[in-house]
Parts: sequence; C-alpha cells; structure tokens
Amino acid sequence: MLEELTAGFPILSCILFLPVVGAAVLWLFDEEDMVRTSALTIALVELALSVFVLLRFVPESAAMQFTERVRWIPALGISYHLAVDGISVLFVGLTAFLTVLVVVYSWDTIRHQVKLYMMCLLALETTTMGVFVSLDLILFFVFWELMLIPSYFLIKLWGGGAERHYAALKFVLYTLLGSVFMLVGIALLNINYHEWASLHHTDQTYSFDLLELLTVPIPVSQQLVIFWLMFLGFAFKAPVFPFHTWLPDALLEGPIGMAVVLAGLKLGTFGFIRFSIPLLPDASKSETVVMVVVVLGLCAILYGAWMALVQVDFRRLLAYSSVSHLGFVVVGLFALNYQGLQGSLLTMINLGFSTAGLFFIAGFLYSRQQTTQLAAFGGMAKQVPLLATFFLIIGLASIGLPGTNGFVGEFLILLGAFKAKWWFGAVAVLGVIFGAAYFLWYYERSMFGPLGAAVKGTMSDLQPREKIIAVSLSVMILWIGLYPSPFLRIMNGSIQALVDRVSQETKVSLEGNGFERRY
Amino acid sequence: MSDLTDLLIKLIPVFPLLAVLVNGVLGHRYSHDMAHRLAWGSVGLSFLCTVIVFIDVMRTGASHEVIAYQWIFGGDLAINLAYLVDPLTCAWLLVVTGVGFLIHVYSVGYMHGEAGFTRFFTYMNLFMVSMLLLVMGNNYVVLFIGWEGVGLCSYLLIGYYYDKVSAAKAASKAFVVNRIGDAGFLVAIFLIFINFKTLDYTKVFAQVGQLSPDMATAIALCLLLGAIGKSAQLPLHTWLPDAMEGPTPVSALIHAATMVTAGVYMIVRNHAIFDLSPFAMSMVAFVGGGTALFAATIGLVQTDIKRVLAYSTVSQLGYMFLGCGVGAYTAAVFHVMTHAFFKALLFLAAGSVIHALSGEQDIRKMGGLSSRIPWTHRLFLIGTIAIAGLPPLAGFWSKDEIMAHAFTHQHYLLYSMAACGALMTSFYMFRLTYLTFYGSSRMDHHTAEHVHESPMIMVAPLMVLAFLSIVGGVVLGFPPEHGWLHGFLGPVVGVGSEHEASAGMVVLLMGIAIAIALMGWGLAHFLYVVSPATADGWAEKFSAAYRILLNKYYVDEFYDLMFVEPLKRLGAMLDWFDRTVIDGVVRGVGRITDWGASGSTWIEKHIVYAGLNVIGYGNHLAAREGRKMQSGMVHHYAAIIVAGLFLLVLVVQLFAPM
Amino acid sequence: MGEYALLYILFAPFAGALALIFVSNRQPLLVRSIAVSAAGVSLLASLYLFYAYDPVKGGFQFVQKVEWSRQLGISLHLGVDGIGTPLVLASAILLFAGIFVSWHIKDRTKEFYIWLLILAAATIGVFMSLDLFFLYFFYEMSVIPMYLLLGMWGSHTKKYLEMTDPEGLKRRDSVGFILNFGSNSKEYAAMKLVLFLSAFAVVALMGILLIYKYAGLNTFDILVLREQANLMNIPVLGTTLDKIIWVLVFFGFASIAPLWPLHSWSPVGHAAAPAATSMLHAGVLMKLGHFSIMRVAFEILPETTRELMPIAAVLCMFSIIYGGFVAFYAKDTKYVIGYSSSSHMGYVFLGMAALNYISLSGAVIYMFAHAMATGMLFAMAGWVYDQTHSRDIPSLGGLSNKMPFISACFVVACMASIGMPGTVNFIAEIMIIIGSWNKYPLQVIVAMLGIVLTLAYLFKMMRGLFYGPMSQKYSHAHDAISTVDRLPLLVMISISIGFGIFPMHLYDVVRSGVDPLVARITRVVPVAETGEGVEMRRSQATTPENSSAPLASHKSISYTPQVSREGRE
Repeated sequence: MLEELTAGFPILSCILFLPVVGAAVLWLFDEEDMVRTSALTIALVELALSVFVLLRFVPESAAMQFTERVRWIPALGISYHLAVDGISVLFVGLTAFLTVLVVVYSWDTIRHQVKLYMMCLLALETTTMGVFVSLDLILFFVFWELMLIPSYFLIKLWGGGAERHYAALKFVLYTLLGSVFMLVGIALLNINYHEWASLHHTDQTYSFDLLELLTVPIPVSQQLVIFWLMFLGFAFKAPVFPFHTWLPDALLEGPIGMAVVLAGLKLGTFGFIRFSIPLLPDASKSETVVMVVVVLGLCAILYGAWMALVQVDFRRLLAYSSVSHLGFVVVGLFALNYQGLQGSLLTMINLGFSTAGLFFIAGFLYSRQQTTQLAAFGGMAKQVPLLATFFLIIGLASIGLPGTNGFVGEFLILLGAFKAKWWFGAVAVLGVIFGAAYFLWYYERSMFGPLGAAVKGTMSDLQPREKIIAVSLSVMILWIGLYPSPFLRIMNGSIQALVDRVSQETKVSLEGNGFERRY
Repeated sequence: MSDLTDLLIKLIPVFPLLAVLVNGVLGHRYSHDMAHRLAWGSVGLSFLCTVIVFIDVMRTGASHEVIAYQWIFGGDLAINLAYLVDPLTCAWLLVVTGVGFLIHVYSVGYMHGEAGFTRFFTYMNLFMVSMLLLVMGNNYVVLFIGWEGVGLCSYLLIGYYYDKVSAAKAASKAFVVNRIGDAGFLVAIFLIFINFKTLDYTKVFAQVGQLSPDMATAIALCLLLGAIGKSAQLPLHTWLPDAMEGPTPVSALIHAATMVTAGVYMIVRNHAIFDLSPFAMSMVAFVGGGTALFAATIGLVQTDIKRVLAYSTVSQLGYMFLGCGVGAYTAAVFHVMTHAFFKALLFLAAGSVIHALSGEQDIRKMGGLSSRIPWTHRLFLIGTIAIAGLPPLAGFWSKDEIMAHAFTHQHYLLYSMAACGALMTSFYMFRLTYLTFYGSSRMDHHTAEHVHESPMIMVAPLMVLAFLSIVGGVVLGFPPEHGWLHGFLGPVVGVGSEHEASAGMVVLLMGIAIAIALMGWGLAHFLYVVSPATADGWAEKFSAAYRILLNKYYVDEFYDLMFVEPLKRLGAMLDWFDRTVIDGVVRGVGRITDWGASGSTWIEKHIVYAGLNVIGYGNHLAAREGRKMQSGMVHHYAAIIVAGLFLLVLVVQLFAPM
Repeated sequence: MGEYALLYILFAPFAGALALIFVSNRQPLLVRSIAVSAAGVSLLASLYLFYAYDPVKGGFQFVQKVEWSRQLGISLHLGVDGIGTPLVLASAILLFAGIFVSWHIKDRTKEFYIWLLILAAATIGVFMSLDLFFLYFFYEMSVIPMYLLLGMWGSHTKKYLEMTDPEGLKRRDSVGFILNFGSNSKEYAAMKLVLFLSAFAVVALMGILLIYKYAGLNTFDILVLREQANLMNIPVLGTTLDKIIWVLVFFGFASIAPLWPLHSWSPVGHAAAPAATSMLHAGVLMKLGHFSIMRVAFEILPETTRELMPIAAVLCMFSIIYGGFVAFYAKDTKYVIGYSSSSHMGYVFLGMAALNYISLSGAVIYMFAHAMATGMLFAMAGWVYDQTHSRDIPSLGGLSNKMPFISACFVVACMASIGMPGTVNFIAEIMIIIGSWNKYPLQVIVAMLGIVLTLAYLFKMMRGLFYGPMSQKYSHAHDAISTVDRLPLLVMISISIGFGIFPMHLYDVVRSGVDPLVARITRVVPVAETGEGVEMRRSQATTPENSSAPLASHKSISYTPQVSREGRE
C-alpha cells in the first residue's frame, strides 16, 4: 500500500528542498522558541524522510534508486538528475541525522540571531544533501558551491574565536580555489563527451550527466588532466594533506555546529568515490596517481596524528585527527580494491558519528569552560562522569577500537591497503598506534588526574539535550561496530560495481558491461 | 546435546554482557549489593555453561564452531562473529571463567565501600566479555576484538583511581604500548588474509602447508609482536609493572591470570604457522627466556609488594613463551593454568595484606604479619611455594616441564636461562614472604592498630585458589608429558615429540629444579631471617648493580629518551612546520596577491594614470577654469571631434592614391 | 504592434525625455512617474521582444528601415539578432532599475532623468543599429549624457585609491597633479571619461569610414557590407588594409569595453557617477564595446577576425588579473566594483577570442549576466553612500545590523558576480570555460584564478561594509524598506537567478545569433536541429586552427574501446 503511494513520489526532491523551504518558513517567525521548535521539526521530518529512503533502499544492488530526472538546460546537457545508490544513500541519512543533533545542540548554546543561524543551518543541509544526491555534475557543482555561503556565515557570525573572519574567508577562498579547478575538470569531461558524441552522431551532444559521461571513453592523457583538476577540488575540500591548513582554523574559530558538519560530512572524499574514480578509472589506477595520492594519504595519517599529539586545544586536535582519518580514507580509496573502497566509504560514514561526536563533546566542554584549551580542564571525570564516559566511548570509536564503528572501517581500509601494496598498509598501521596515543594522552590530561586549577568546583553533568546527542551517537557507534550488516549490505552492490569498473580492462564501451549494469 | 552445547557456547559471553549493560546503564539506580550480585552471578553462570561445554568437549573430543552472525563482509571477505570451542579454548575458558568468578567474589569484599563500586564491576564484566571473545573466536578478527577489548578494560581498570596521576598515566601507557603490539597483530592478520583469503582458523590451518617459509616467518614475527605487547615481554614489558596502579583484584585477574596470557594463547593457537618457521620459534623462545631472566632480576630488589608480583608475572610469562618457543605448547598451556591459580592467589593474598594495612604496599613497612593475618599468611605461603617450584605444588610441574622440554630438545642456553630465572624466582618470592610476614614489624603504629584479617568473602576464594595451586599441577599434568592435559590438548597442539626423555633424565631434571628452588629459598632465608644485615651490605657492595635493578634497568627512562621525548619534540617541530611552512605558503599566496594588488595599483597610478594625466593636464587646467560652465566642456568635446575628423580626412586622403 | 517593438523600446525613453522638458521640477512625482513610465514601456517592450524573438528562425528580426540619406547610403536600419536581444533587455532592465535607484535625487531631478533616459536610449540604439552610421551615432550619443550626469550629479572621489583627506593635498598642479591624482573631482572624471572615449571613438570611426570608402558600395548598411564588401588584401603600409581597419575598429571599441590597458577611464568614471549612472555605465555601456566589435569587426571582417583575435586572448588575461588586483587593493567601494567590472570584461574577451559557438554564446550571456550583477553592486554601493556619505571601506563597517536587506542582497550580488551556480553568471562562465579550453587553456586557468580573486575582494568589501564594529556616526543609516527602494534590487536578483535556473530561452536566443557569426568566421557549418534548443554539431570539415588537440587525439585512435586501449598501451 505504502509502496503504491510512494511510487513515483519525488522523495529525493522533497529531501533536498524541505530544509531550504523550511528555512524560508522560519523567516516568518519572530519568537526564538518558535524558531527553534520549527527548525527541529523540519530537521526531524527530514530525518524521517531519509530513514524512509534508507528503509526502502534495495540493498546489495548497484542500481541508482529513487531516480528523478528532468532535463534542465538541454542545450548544454545539464539535467536535474537526482538518485541515490549504495555510495550516497548513507550520507543522506547521516546528513539528516547530524542536522537534527546540531539543532538540538544549538538549542541553548546559540543565543543571538537564532533565526538566522537556524536558517543557515537548514540551507547548509539542503546544499549538503544536494551534493550527495546529484548525479549531474553541474547540479553537483551548484550545491558544492552554494554550500560555501551558509558555511561562511556560520563561521563568521557565530564563531567563537577572535580570528573567525580570517578563518571564514580562508575556508571559502581555499574551497573556491579548489572548486574552480574542479569546474574546469567538469568542463573537460563535457568537452570530451561532446567530441565523442559528435563523432558518433548521437542525439545529445553535450552532457554533464554522470551516467552518460560514464559511457564514453576518455583517452588516458585526458583522464589524467581531468583527474588532477578534480583532485584539487576534492583535496582542498576534504582536506587532504598538505591542503589542510584551513581546517584547524575553521574548526577552531567556527561554531560547534558548523564544525560538526565540516568534520562529520566528508564531502571531498565523497567526490573521489562518486566522481573521480568511476569517471576516470584509468587515471585513478595509473601508477603515478596511486603513488602520489596514497603517499599523500600516508603522510596525512602520520602527520595528522603527530600534530594531534602536541595540540593543547581540543578542537585543533580534532582537526588534525580529521586530517589523519582522511588520510586513511584516501589510502583506502586509492587502494582501489573492494575492501579499500568499502572501508573508506564506511569510514566516511563513521567519521560522521565519531569525529562529529567528538566535536559535540568539544561543544559540551566549551559550554562548561568557554574554551577547549587543555589548561581549562583536568580531572573532570569526577565532576562530569557521564560526559567523561561518552567522551571515552566516542573517542575510542575515533581511534578504531574493535566493537566500535571505527574499527570496521579502519580494518577494511588497512586490509585493502595491504592488498594493494603491503607497505601502504604497513605505514598506515602506524597511524593506529598514534591514534591511540594522541587521543588517550589528551583524555588522560583533561579527564583524569587531580582536579584542574581552572575547573570550577561545581560543574553540571550532561543536560538532557546533551544526553540525547551523546546517547544517539553512541548507539550508532556501537551498532555499526557490532552489527554493521545493514550498512554493508547497502553499500556492497555499488562497491562491487565500482570495483568492476576500476578493474575491468575493457569497460568503456557504450553497451552493457561493467558499470553500466546498474542502469 | 550438540545443539544445547552450541546454545551454551553462545550464552557464555552473553551473561557478562548483560550484566555490563544492566549495571552500566542502571547501576546508579540501585544498591551496590544488587550490582555485585549481578556481576559475579553472571560470571558464575558463564562458568557453569563453560563446565557443561567442557564436559561435552572432553567426552566427545569434538570441537564446536558456532556462528552468531555475519559481521564484516563484502567482496572476497567474510568475517563472522563466530565461536570455536575446542580443547584449547576449553582450557582457557575454564581458567577465565573459573578464576574470574573467584576474583569477582573476592572483589565484593575488597572493593567494599569504594565510590566507583558499580563502575568497577561493569568494567570487570566487560573484561570478561572481551576475554571470552578473545579465546572463543573462530577467526582472527574476533580474536582481535577481544584482544583490544581486554586492552580497553585493562586501561579502564588501571585508571580506576583516575584522580591519581600515576594511575592515569599508567593506564594510557598500558593502552598505547599494547597498541604497538596490536599493530603488529593487525599486520599479521592482513598477511594471513592475503595468503589464505580467509581468516577462519580452521580454514587457515587447513591450508597452512602452502605457506612459503619466508611468509610464515613474517606472519609469525608479526604475531609475536602482538603477543609481546599483550603479554608484556621484552621489550614491551614496561606497562605491566605500572599497571599495578589498578585495584588488586584487577591485577590478579587481568595482569596475572588471564589477559596477559592472551599472547601465549595466540601463539599456541597459531602454532601451525610458528612451526613452519624455526627462526620465529627461536625468537619466541629467546624473547621468553630473556624476559624470564630479565624480569626476575628486577624482581629481586623491588620493594612494592605488587610490583614484585608484577615482575614475577612478567618472568613467568617468559617461561610460557619459552615453552612455546621450544615447542612445548602443552607445557606452556599447563603453566598458564597453574600460573593462573597461584598468581591469582598471590595477588589476592597480597590484596588481602594491603587491605589489612589500609592500602600500604611497601614491604619495607611490613613485617611480622603472620600472626596478625594468619589465613592470608598461610595462603600466601602456599602461593609462594607453588611459584617457587617446590613439588607437589602446581608451579613445579608446569615449570619443570617447560625446562625439561628445553633441555631435552638441546636448548641448553635457554634451559640455563630458565634455571637462573627459577633460582631468582624462588629467592625473591621467599624474600617477599619473609619481609611481609616474618621478622619484626616495621609498620607505623597507626597502621598497625588497624590490621585485621580480611572477611570471609575475600578469604574463601583464596582458599579455593590455594587448593587449586596445591593439586592443580598433579591433577592436570602428572605424569610429566603424559598428564591429563596433554591428552586433552593433544588434538589441538599435536602430541608427542621425537625427543622422548628417558625416565631417568626426567627425574634428574626434576631433582635439579627442586634443588634450584630450595637454593633460592635458602638464600632468602639466610638473607632475611638468619642475617638480615647481609642484604643491605650486598646492596651497598654492588650498589651500581643494585641501583640498576631498582630502576628496572632504566628501560622506561631509555624509552622516554629514545621514543617518547623525540616524538613529542618532533610533534612540536611539525606543529611549527605546519604553522610556518604549510600555512606560510597559504599566507604567502595571500601576500603575493597583496603584492600583485599593490604593484598593479602602483602601475595604475604611476604609469597608466600618470601617463594619461600628462596628456590630459592641459585639458584639466581648462576644466578647472570653466568648471561651472558646461558649455565649455561641450566645446572641448566638439573640438576633439573636429580634430578627429580632420585626422580622419587626412588619413583617407593619404591612402586615397592607392 | 509586434513588429514595431524596437521602435517602442528605442523611442519610449526619448519620448519620455522630451516630455520631461515640459514638466516643472517642482513636481518631482510627476517627473518620476514620467520617467518610470517611459522606462516601463521600454522594459515591457523589450521583454516582449526577448520572448517574441524566434530563435529557430534566427537572423535579424523586427527589422525597421527608414532611409535617411540616399547619397551617403545611410538609413535608420534597426534590427536585433540573438546577440542584440538580450543586451537590449539588459539595458531596459537597468534603466528601469536605475530610475528607482535614483528615486531620492533632489537636485535637478528633471534634468537628471532626461539625461539618464537619453543615455539608456542611446545605448539601446547601438544594440539595434544595423547601420554603421547610426551605430556610431548612438555610440557617441551615449557618451555625452555621461559627461553631464557625472559632472552635475556625480560625487568627488577624493583621493584615488587610498582615501586620505583630499583637502590636505595642496599640490594640485603640474607634476604633483600628474602623479598623485589629488584632483579626482567629478569634473575631472567626467572630462577624462569623455575625452578618452571620444578619442577612441574617433579611432573606431576611422575604421568605419575606411570600410565605407573601400567597400565602395556607398552604404553603411552592415547587412550589405558583410555580404558584399571585399576588403581583403589591399596592401597598405606594409600590411593589408583589412588588418588596419580591424585594428582600428577593435581598439576603438575595445576602449569602452574596456580592454586592458585602455581601461583607466572607467573606474574613475564609475566612481564619480551617481548610482544609476554607474549601473548603466558598467552594466551596459561597457558592452557597447564588445557588441560593436562583434557587429562591425566580426561581421564585416570575419577572416581578419580569425587571424587577429588572439590579441584579445592575450590582453584579456591582463584585464582579468590586473583589474582583480587593483580591485583587491582599492578601498573605495565604487573603485572595487569598477575594477571588478573591468576585470570581468576580460572573460567576455576570452569568450570572444576563442571563437566557437559555446564560448561566444558564453561571452554574450556573460555580458547579460554581468549587467545584472554589477548593476546590483552599484545600486547597493550607491545606497550605502547615500546613507553614510562614505565610500571609504575602512571607515565603514557593521552596517548589516542597520541594513539587513541590503546586506542580504549584497551577498547575492557577490555570489552572482563570482559566478556562483544558480545565477546566470555561472552558466556564462561554464560556457566560456567549455568553449575556450581547447584553444586557450592557460587563459581559462587564469580566468578561474580570477574568480577566486573576485571572491577575495568582494568578500573583503562585504566584510568591510557590513560586518565588524560600526562607527557611531552611521547610526542614522537605514535599510531599504519601501517598495520603491527594494524593487530594483529584487528585479535584478530575480532576473539573475531566474535566468540562472532557466537559461534555456536566453541560450537559444543567443545561440541563434552567435551561430551564423561563428560559422562565418570559422567557416564551420552549423547544422541546425529542430526540437529542443538549437544544437550544433561540429562538422567533420573542421578547419585546422579550430580543431583541438583532444579531438585530434580522438581521431587518431579508433573508437572501439579495446582497440583504443591497445593503441594506448
């Protein structure tokens, strides 16, 4: 019954535009509580829709599902093409989930310009969703760029640090710099399609549609050019070492809510797995690319961990730990085998719970001490036992303790890396050690030991709203850690198709083999 | 029966897990009594299940493989959360649940009145779950869950008194050092997967023959690294003595009886791989022998009752490794079991002493306690005799078997190391006993006033353990090499060896072992009872050596100097690098833009604009004069037009002839 | 009435101006309503024109021809093709918006509107002239009102780029003046603008007259000239005449575009001008240059264009980066926007230089898009100036609390200006990239970096104006609240975003104008298709200079993937 009702219902469009429409509706309200309640309602409805999509998603399938396609600018081959497959559908849920938590978190921590904040947040959700569900590269780019606007204002207007203007601008410029190169790459894909199509007298001479672009061959030399152009776009955003210096600034200066989204939703690496690798398989697996990218990833793992080791500000530490984790993801992606890709994808999801979770923890700490500097903490486990407990749980997930989600992803990545080249894995494994070191060292100094000098005598433990956040994150962490089956099943089909696409030598013809099977 | 067994196997880890959940989530809502009942009750249930499973396994000799659910899968990888219960697992299960149960019960008394009582039991149960997964898993990844899980619980329990800086530091240290080993273990897992395309024990061991010797060595060494980390062998032993910051039952359970033996379990479990690599085997043996000797020497001079026991644990674990290394797997397992009995006994008895002395752990401030806490004294003495290796107590049989095996397999160097270690073991254990329970009291009188025997709930488990320490060896492993345990484990680790020792040789070696133990005892007796001043004299005399030993060979300091500090300094350097160089490049780009901008503006001003202004200067003057008169402007404009037209005509005319 | 649309558009403003002469300045409302209705008629008619233009048919439509001088071969020949139509629409929109933006002008309102209407009408005239004489006539006509508008209603720009107190600066004459530009008075700006543009107009006029003379057809009619004029290969001064004509025409018109290094009149002109004038000026007046180059040089001298257009490709890089840099450094809001305009015109030149369907269409759409974006920016800079009497960025700040609507619109305008997806600028940008890459990859990369630079200086300005601490002296500043004040911004925003999301018709119209032009220049025959859009298919017979490297590589390999792969390995 429900199925019949929902057949043909443009649910992805609803998911995509609900938040921004909601944001517009928020404009009408003046009372702050009303604004908050409405924002939460919108976020919850969004989450419900996303969960519905997740439930209705056919797992173990490489097919694009819930497809919506309208030709938008036919002359240029731009279409409004939305769909999810195993690679992107989880991000939809994750985005909705995190947004709900951010709204809950911001309930009483954002005190001025609440309406504008919520509007920015919801707008950000729309753009993020857009990045995940777009199959047309221009549409994707639209959301990719639009994301900058709410992000910029979130960092700039609600950031806590003195340097927030600088951080916001740095973030925006950095990302834009990468994305203009990416735009050139996208254009080159289109030119390539056009030239191929004109020679073959097919009806449509331009296309930005991922699925159509997949059907045309691209000479390897061209692929390499496009790859590096797109690499810049994704690497700046991810950020991949050594393009990371905007991240610590943005995360430190921006509000916690923004940091959660920035650190929790790995858009840059999503770009790799969604576009770079399937579109440019020959370039992706060419010796140079793999070596350069993986070595950058390995550097990121060690470098990020090392940097995290010496940070005294928790948010900076998290920023560098993000860099380290992204190193893992990149290594996994460019191991270009099943486990590597699967692990990377899962890790991207995982970071949405663990790194984002740690940022919530940072937020909890911040709201108690008005800083995340180490000097303000010490021995707090006695004062705030629940906070300390969840801090530990989420932190352990982030360092990949078995039984938490982090382990599953990390294990797969390492295994994939090992399969690709043993020394990829061997170096990456060192990150496991450092991960434990930096996290536990910080934890020890902030939560254990005698009560810190700057710690107030009375400090409230987690409030109900904070409990909701911490518990829901922990539940997800343990769920994926102990029973990842539903998640793996969702992604497996698409991963298999991707692996086939990358590994097959002769997949670039128009008719059905390899990747095209899914359509 | 088989179905029932499978069900029971599944249930074994479930009981403690339930206890964890209930106590963890709701523990603060009800009384401590409820919490501890749940805790030891659940472990007790697990123990019961284990016994039933054990009987089944013993009866049928079959191993059970039970799949709980599919865990990680995709592509060519399929990892189940699944259990394998075979005799080897059974042996460990019995120790873990049995000794675990006793220690839980003991803890009820020991931890009475502590603030984090429920937390303690939650962690302990979590430890039980992890340890059970570790020994029950049917593949490497489940083993690894348990492996890291016990590491986590060890971390949590060492850091139980988290407001003590030393405890917090010790906890982190334990975890991080363990992680170094874990990284090695992970690498081993990957290598195994790449070679066998599976991670299930049965499938791996079925095709182990295809492994090239080099690869076998690589895998074995990586596994060994993991084992070294977990079992605190050289050179990763430093965390275990520090781990004594945890409550004593924790030391007994985790850092003596169960977790630290996980390395041994792993090696025995993977003996098929180790067997392929003589080099790796000798590495195992020498790591073990070296550690046995090394830790024993440190144990000679330590003054903290728990630290002595800790070093003795490290040393005993060395014996187990040595046993594995020389191929005496059964003997190693045998020693694990007996060691679990007597070391748990010793720790718990030590805990009882500490309990009696209101937390005092320094043996220099003890003495003469035998009359004040008689039960503890007797039980501790039994433990001491057992570990020292005097027959017929448990330690003798297992240790002797390892040493005998080493000897009969021509590992004379290892044998002599083990023998020296045994001598020292005997010495420092009796030294400990003498200093603690005999002689005159060195307590301050405030402590002395409150000395009391522990309650029954603490003593009773000790009695059970003492009983096991006394009879365990004979029951399990008599006669040597042909005991019940050998028969039981035979199918797993392989029976018999080509170097069957003659009965005479066996007796001779036993005699030597007894002699060594007695020598140690005698020496201790001489130094601490007969002539107490001699010990200090010797310490004076060999002060350099004494100080080295007292400071544990400065290994910690060495590591700090060599690894920790450089690491931190490198981190600081990288931080500088990040801020100055990488971010500098970014800011440099910004600055270049600035320069470009100001340069362009300079050009704009001084060249483009000035150049035009030179031309326009005359007009400008005119404009100033006639600023208010617009007609003047139009006039200018018209003049320009006219001039232009004139030019144009000129050009046209010029070109016209062509 | 449909076929007379051009006349309505062109003459409604003139008629309005004429009517205003007879209205007293004491009735400001009447003055304004006349101006609004004139502009409104023009806007409605140009909207009609835009949607009635049939892209499938293409060519020049709505043609009107009135003979003016048979002897000289001059006639008032009006008509629009796909290139002119959107520019006419843009002019009408900006005129309409400009009238509302200058709603609060108190000083000589009537005269102001008269000149504004004439300015716009003249601009529109250029876009629809099919006769070289009238093209030049309207072109010059658009310059005169600029002079008056600047001179009378403009504002002094104080010191040039860094704003220190101009009054402290006494050295006003001789070398001192030449180097320090102390005297950026509005009169000076007006003077400079007019002289500069006139001088270069004369250069263009020379080219036009040469065409007239050497075509020997006794006509200024572009349609006739492009078919029949044969100007090739007449040797002159060591080169050929067509090249000389082309250079004259190109640089003559490029000065208003403005192409680097002929730009220096424009920022100072923008800065001195009142808001509405700046809008028209940067929004459409500059495009007269590009448009005239296309209309005259491209149409009449296609071969020469193909040969010489790379000049523009080189200079456009300087335009983009140089303009961006100066904008980055400037501290006066209008200078920033002015230099950003001159930087962005580089993109148009890039699109024109690449000379293919996509890039040239992109260039035309970019003109349209830039008109909206820069119009918004100038309108808001004007609003801020009206409220604070300051354009000095460092002394402003924190205005977003006072004027939330303006600051929100400002964000949108910035986004449009950098080509944020969702605005029509983005469509133009991507088309320019796609079209130019094969020929000018370096320029494309430079252009992309220019976008980042644009973001940098626009955000810098945005932050300087609207965020940070606010000086107390601006506490009386207020937001645009009334409909009259909001309308122009809303119109431009909705146009910008509307065409950003639904650019299909715009695209089709532009393509219908660009295709024959490119076909003439590159000699590549477009194959028009029916159905959705006007899609072109590159003919197999590509000329050598138009065939791109990747295409060649495509040709060298077989398209059967297996084979191609073997070929590669």
